[in-house]
Amino acid sequence: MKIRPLFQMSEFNREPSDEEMLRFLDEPETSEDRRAFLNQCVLLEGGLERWNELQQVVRAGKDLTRFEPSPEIRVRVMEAAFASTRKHHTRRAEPVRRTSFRQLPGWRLAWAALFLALSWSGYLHFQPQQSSLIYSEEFNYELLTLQEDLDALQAVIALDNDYYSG
Amino acid sequence: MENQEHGSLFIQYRDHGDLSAFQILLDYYNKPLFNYLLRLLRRTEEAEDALQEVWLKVIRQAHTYNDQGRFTSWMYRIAHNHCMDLFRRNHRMPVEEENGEPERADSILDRLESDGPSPRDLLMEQETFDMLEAAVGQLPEAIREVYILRAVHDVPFKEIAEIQNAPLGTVLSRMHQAVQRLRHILADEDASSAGSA
Repeated sequence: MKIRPLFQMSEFNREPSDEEMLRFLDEPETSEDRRAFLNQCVLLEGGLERWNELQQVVRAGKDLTRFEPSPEIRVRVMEAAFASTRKHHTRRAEPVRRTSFRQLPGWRLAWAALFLALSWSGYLHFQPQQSSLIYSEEFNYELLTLQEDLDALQAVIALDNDYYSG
Repeated sequence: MENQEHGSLFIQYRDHGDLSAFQILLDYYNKPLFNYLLRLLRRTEEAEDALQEVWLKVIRQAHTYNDQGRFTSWMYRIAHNHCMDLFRRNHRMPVEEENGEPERADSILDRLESDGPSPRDLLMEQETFDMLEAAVGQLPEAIREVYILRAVHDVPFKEIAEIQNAPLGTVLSRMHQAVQRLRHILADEDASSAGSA
C-alpha cells in the first residue's frame, strides 16, 4: 500500500464535511483513497466518531423490515413477459415466412420456364410444316423421277412401234 | 450476483426471449422494488399497482435499455419516473424541506456506538426496526428516496443522481439531511420512550 504523508493531504487537514464523508462511503473498502481518508479521520478530533455514526445510519437501512408484495403481481408480470416474448417471436417469424417463400421458384426461373415452354410449343408448331416441306420436296422428286421413267418408257415404246411399222 | 450479470440477463430476455432470465430478475428485484415504491407512496395498494406498472414498463421499454448501463439504475429510474407521474397526477409533489441543522442529541445510534453488543446486533431488535421504519417514513420524499436507494438498495450516489436527474452535490446534500434527520427523529423517539418509561 502506498503511504501518503499527511502534509501532502492539505485538503483533509480540516474536519471533513458530511458530504465528503458520504462520497468516501461509495468508495470500495480496498480503495487507497478511502484508507487515506480514514487515516486522516482518526487524527482529527471526532472524525472517526462521525464516520462511524454515518455508517451506522446507512447500515441501519439494510435491516429495515422488508414487506412482501402480493404473489399475484408476479404471476401477472410473468404473463406479460411471456406475451411480450410471443410478440417478439411472431415478429421474428416474418422473415422465416419470407425465407420459405424464397424456396419457391423465383421470378427469373419462372420467366425462363415460360420462355422454354413458348419455344417448345413454337418448335412443335413449326416442326410439321418444315417436315411437310421436306416431304413435298421428296414427293416432287419421286414424281419427277417417275415422270422421267415414264417418258423414257414412252420413248422406248415409240421406238419399238417405229421399228415394227417401218 | 453482479449487476453486470443482471444487465446481460435482461438482454438475454429482450433479444432472445429467454423467460428464465427474466424470472431471475423478477425474483431478485420484485421485493426490493416493492419496498422502494411502498416507502415512497406509503399505501400498500398504490405500491402494488405501481409495482405491476413499473414491471410492465420495464418489459415495454426494454429496447431503451443501454447495454453499457447498470440494470438497477435503469429500472429504478423507471420506478422513480412512475412515482413522479403519480405525485403529479395526485397534485402531490415530493417535499424537500430545507430546515437548518437539527440539534444533536444523545440518540439510539449514539448509544449503539458505545461499548457493549455490536450495533448490528442491537438493531436486530424489533422495536428499533419499527422506530427506524417510522423515522424513514417521516422523511420528505426526495430525501427519503435517496436514503432508501443508498441504504436499503445499495445504489451508489452517482447512480442516484442519474435516477433523480439531479447533481451529485444535491444527492449528497439530501443524504446528509437524511442522516441528520434520522439521528434527530430517533433521538426524539428515544427521549419519548424514555419519558413514558
